[in-house]
Amino acid sequence: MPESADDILSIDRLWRRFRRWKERPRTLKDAAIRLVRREGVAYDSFWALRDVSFNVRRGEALGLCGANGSGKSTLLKVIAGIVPPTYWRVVVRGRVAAFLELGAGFHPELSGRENIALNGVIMGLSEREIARKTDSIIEFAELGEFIDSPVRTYSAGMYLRLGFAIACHVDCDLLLIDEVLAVGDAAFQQKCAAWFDALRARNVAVVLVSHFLPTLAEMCDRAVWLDGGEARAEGEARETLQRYCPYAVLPPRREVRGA
Amino acid sequence: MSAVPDFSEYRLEGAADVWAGWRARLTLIKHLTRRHLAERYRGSALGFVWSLLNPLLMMLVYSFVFRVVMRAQIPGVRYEAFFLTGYLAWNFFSVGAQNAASSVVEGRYLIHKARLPHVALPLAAILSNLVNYVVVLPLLLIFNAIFGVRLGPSILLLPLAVLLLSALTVGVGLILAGAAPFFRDLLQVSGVLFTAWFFATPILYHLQYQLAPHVSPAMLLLYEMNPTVGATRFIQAVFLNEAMPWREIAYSFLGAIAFLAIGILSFGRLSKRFFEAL
Repeated sequence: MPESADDILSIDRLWRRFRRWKERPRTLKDAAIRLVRREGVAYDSFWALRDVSFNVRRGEALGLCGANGSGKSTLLKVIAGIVPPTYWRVVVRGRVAAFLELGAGFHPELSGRENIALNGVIMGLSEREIARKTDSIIEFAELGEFIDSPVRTYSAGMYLRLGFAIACHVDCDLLLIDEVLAVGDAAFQQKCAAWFDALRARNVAVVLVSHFLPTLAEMCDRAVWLDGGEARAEGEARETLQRYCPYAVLPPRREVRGA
Repeated sequence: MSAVPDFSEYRLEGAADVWAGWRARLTLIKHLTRRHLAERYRGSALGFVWSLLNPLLMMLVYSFVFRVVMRAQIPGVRYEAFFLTGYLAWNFFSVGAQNAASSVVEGRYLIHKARLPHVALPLAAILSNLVNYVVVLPLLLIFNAIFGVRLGPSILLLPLAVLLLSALTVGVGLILAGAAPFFRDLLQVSGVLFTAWFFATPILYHLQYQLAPHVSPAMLLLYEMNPTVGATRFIQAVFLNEAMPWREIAYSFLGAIAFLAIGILSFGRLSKRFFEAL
């Protein structure tokens, strides 16, 4: 697949291996005992991603579908730079922001406000940028007085709103979303849809993982079907999703208002 | 299945890599450090007083053992001043290195969520302990003055002594921090190790008066090779106006470089596998 400068993301023959430990020396004591008994450490490995290649153009929305354990989340984490590739190459030509599992990246003992600052810092914002955006994030999250409570006291919906509000305030060229939007209420879903439109208008590319195929069909231009770590099919979103699940009833791609 | 190539790359092009420059890294370290300090002091002066409680209590206990039970003395300096000077330095080193060791495990929620320079976690843990130490130093000077210690020109070497101690702390801290995710009992084991190391460092006894007369020259040389000996003696000489123990400082300097080199290399290699281990 030829790369071009118009691609925000190029994944080229990507492999990722994980170790599967049989009996792992979790402690120094175990390791010492194994050493004395001259036992080796037993593990085999499995490939979570095998030879995956695709490109995403600027402003394009790509959906990832596939069964549990097919490598979708691993793929997102490799794209986000959290998990390094084992072999071959991932190139991102712009800023990435990731909105992965619920509550990830939040410190449970810190308040919502402190977590906003921390998240801003790990997304590489300067302190001035964070200070400027904090009020707007708080307003967007609609957490009221809970913003100064420790986030361990939050409900799933509150976690979601806070994480989402932060993700919305990061200027990025590529956004990664993993299966988190489903726990929001109706008002939240509407907010999401409006946000997606705004992203498209700003030419931000999106890679979206979901098991809810109608959402993928509605939101995405293209889709990739992962199966056992391999890309089984890739192409126009509805066509690909239909191949993955022939019985699914899929809505058409949503038109963007005012675009 | 095609042949697997022996090559891997993750690349962010252009200005996209937020960690490419030093500024974002420093902001991250600063932010984490400030949070450590805020946690420790809880925004009150009482937190600061609390942090002095342990050294003062130790000083009382050890001066009882040393002076009353053992009937030992150090010519020219009050034991309280001698002990506290060495102990505060040791505290910075041992607590700093052990906080660094636990920082990666405690920061797993960040490591799973975002691409960030992992080394910022142990560095921030050590930096907050350094701030802690430096803030206490004026109090140490007052305390020593009360016990009749006169400062000499050697106090000008204080920054150098703190630098050596910090380098040692970072080296040891990085080695432990890199290994901690892979061995769950490392923190307990290192606790025992640090206790032993404490007694192998001249903090509650004076190298010249309590140790040197009782051991062979070869044994003494071996003892002085311990890099914490030189660093601690450097601090003691600076504050208590003793002659500079240059030979031990040189050993300590070499030791710090060795620890730093091993720490940086091992942490860099192991941090690639943190994601799997945590």
